[in-house]
Amino acid sequence: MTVITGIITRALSGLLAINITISGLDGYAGYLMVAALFLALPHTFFTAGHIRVSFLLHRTQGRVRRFVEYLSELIAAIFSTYFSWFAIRLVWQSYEFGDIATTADALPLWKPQAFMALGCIGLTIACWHIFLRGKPWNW
Amino acid sequence: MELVVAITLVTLLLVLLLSGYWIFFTLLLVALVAMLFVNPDVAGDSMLLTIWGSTMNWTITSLPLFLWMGEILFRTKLPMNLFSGLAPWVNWLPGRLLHVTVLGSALFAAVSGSSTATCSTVGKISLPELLKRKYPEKIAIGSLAGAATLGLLIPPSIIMIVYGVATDVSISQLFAAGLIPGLIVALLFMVYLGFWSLLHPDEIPRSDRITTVKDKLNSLRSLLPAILLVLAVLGSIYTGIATATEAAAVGVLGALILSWSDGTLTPKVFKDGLVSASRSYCMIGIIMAAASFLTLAMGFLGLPAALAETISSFQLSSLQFIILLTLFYMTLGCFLDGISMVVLTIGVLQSALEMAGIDLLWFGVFIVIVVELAQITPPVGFNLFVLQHLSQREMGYIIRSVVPMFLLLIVALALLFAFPELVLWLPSLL
Repeated sequence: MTVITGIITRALSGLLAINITISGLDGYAGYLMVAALFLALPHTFFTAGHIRVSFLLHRTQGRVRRFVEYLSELIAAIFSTYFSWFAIRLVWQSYEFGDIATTADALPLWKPQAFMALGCIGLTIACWHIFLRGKPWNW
Repeated sequence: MELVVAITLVTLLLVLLLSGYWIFFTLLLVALVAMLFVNPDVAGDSMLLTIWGSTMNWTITSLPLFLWMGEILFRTKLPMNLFSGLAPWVNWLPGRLLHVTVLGSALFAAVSGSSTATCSTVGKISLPELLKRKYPEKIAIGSLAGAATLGLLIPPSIIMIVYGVATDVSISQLFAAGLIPGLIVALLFMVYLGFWSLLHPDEIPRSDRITTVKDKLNSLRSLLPAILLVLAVLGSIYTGIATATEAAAVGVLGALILSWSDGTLTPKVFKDGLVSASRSYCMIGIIMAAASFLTLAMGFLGLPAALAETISSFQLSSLQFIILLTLFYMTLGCFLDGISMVVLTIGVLQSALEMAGIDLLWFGVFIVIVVELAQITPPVGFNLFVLQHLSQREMGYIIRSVVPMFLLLIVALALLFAFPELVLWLPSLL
């Protein structure tokens, strides 16, 4: 997992750096925004960077708390699987129907969309990892 | 039937949020359930298409760039220079170095878009310095908590970019609109600190040295790069030379040069700043994407239109409406962070606001101040947590020290309501 996140951060450094130089090309800026967002998703999720409002959860203790946490992790895992499925489907459909961008270069849309799907798959893996490792979630 | 659906969704939303569920997952799940009510066949596909469409948006580019700029500057010597650089300039005011927190926050706010970052950066430097000089802790904490909220109001502001993208209001216009209210709030804080010090002359320690003109000029030199950077970024937006995105790119470049020239730009610092900015953007961006799907789902259910009709049927005056909204957001602030509050509500509220004749640009500044209030209101005031961590005091003490600043922000809200020109004048010149 750390290897994956390492690669992701490297890729992201590159992407964000390019982002500046070509910000005038709105289409590509948009694709890079997608890539920067979704490729960072697994890493951010796994290292608990996403906001949760946990003041009520932190009041509960013992079994109740563990039950609520397992349940949330299970829902997250199932939901992210569902989410990834449709992300892959979107890429597949764009490829199948030959969807192209409305910008001048007519880029096939499945290419940038694949980054989104890749990030979603990473998120799904992170979610199942967190659920299956069975330790209580702390952040 | 529709009522049942709406109640189900709101209940689901509250249960998930209160059980500590990830906010972006909560928004997506609620929206998905709503779409399953509308048309189960297309729910999954429309979710991904909407998220794709809202993420693939070049207008948001300024957001990660401003985040990165803040992260770079946060790691330079600028935070350290803030205290020593500003101190000679405020020494003659009643309340003396207390004003450093306000001015330092205002200056840091002009290079960083986040209130929490402003709070922890300025606080980490100025709180120990103030306590070392025997300034009363309570007022030091209070001034810090209040002033840090300027991070949201004084441009560039992350939450304004989020609001602008959600409502299609120009980000440059929003940045112009926030400047005068931001300065007013800073002035209110400084006037309060001045009066407080005049009333409690014994509690403010005497000046340890006489400030000379030379001191002032020396201190200016350490702050000059940052001030120039602010002028370059905001100036290029206000004069219309650059869009917000271009200005953000200039800001990042300037921040990198500044960091390189004071010798803090090591590969590790560069990487840390970048990773940190990516994480923040990921967190904010996924919430925005999730909220756009929720807005779509709510639109299919006809919720915004129904809400607008209901509200207009109450025949509220705009003052009553605004008070109602303030209370609503304060309540919401009990279990949501500022950005989530904005993206979650604005899609549903927009038509009601337009029907009530409330200017969306003015409302952008209003909502930012209300979010500021929420940042220093328990139980989920992020700045309160930062201050608690910095000062090692218990929460009750922090909350009591923040009360005056809270009231001052209410005063600022009232001023902006009474004189909307304070918000609208500067953007009208662009």
